[in-house]
Amino acid sequence: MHIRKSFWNLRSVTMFIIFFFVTDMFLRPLRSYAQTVNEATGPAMLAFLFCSNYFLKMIMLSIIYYYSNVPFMEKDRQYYFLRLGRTRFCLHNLFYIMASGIILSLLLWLISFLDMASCIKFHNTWSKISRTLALTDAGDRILLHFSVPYQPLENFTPLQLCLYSLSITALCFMTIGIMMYALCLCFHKTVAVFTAGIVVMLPDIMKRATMYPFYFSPVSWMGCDTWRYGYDVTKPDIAYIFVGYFFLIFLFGTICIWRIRKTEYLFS
Amino acid sequence: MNEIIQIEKIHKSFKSQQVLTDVSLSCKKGHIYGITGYNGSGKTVLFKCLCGFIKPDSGRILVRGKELHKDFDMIENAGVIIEEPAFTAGFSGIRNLEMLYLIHNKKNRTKLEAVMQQVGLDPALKKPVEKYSLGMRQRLAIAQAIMEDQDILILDEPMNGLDKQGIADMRHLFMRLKSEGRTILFASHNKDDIDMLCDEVYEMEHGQLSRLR
Repeated sequence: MHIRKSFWNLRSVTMFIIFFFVTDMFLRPLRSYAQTVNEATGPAMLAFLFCSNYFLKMIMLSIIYYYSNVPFMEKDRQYYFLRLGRTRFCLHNLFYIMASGIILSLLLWLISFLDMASCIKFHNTWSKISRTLALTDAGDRILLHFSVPYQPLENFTPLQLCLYSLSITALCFMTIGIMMYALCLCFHKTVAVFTAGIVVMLPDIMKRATMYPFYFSPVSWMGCDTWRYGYDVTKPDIAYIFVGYFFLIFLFGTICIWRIRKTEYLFS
Repeated sequence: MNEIIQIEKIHKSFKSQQVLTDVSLSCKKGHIYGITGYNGSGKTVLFKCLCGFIKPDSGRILVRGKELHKDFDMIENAGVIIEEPAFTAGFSGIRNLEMLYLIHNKKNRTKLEAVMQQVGLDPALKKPVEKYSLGMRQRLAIAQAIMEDQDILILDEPMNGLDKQGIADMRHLFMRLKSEGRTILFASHNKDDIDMLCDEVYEMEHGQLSRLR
């Protein structure tokens, strides 16, 4: 199927608009603050945005919308399905989900850079603003809707944090997409959307159920405040997070390939 | 072996509704087989079973001596039109054909242009498929069914939406394809098409296939 057609569609445009408005809503107070104090911010601000529960949910709900066209069984796909065969058709869709996960993640980062363009400086050292927000209550006073934890500033350079956060964001988008594809093949699209919604709400649910909620909620791994720094064993470390995502992608991908061999295609 | 397709006693039901009952059919190379029957009699389901889109509850389908869903999961080297033709809406006819042709790593624009001309479409037409009439989309569907020199053609109502000249052109085309040794399964409500084109004619009624001539 055509790559340009796959990515340049109404859903992608909608995602761009949602990403832009949500990111701008959360970054606006920071931009005003930076302009008021006449200081530049760093490029890693999006990593801190994911520490906001509301931001995370808004972005993830839009991701559920983006992948709600699973299992890619529009009528115009039947000629492709016939020529590719079941397994190759499935692999093609899995590739599309993975590629779109990376592209959406890059898009989100690009939008955050553009939104902060007037006050961003690409330096690999933490800006004064980042340190002030992490170590004082300045964030509360400027009505910032997200917190800036100090541990990432101590443990990573801005570039490292950007790369980790970008990779984890892409992996999280892929995991949700492939999980929805697998559930849609096994049950129904409604089940896929509903379950994905539960996964997005999982951090809140797990907080009431266990002392270690962050181990069991992949969406929460996007926030750098849920990563383990030092000896805090209540939070997963970076290696656990990457292995966890790869395991889930492999598991749901395998279910997709197994299930597609048995699915009946009515193309309606 | 002369039979290119053998359908042996297949049954198919959706929930409690029996759609195909004990359907058997043998198709020889270079013949045209016509299947008639009222709407909902099971013709399309039979074709979908034969393509591999859906799996029969029992019975087996052999294509070129290999069993479907056992030796392979989708019919290979077959041109298929099932129900209404559907293409990527924003692209031109030739672009759609190119994208399908590319799946098997083939690139031959000259051949695709020739196929489009065979079915009466202008390959230079830039208009996107979404602006095509039903007849033009049907012609494009026939083009995608024959463009890779498939030796089996499974055509469900291929004359839908075609004008008189279009029907005459397609009849001529199908006769030529038959003379080239291609096997065609052809579902139609039109008695004239069936009478003129088909070597054997079957009727599907309440999911049962019976030979008319």
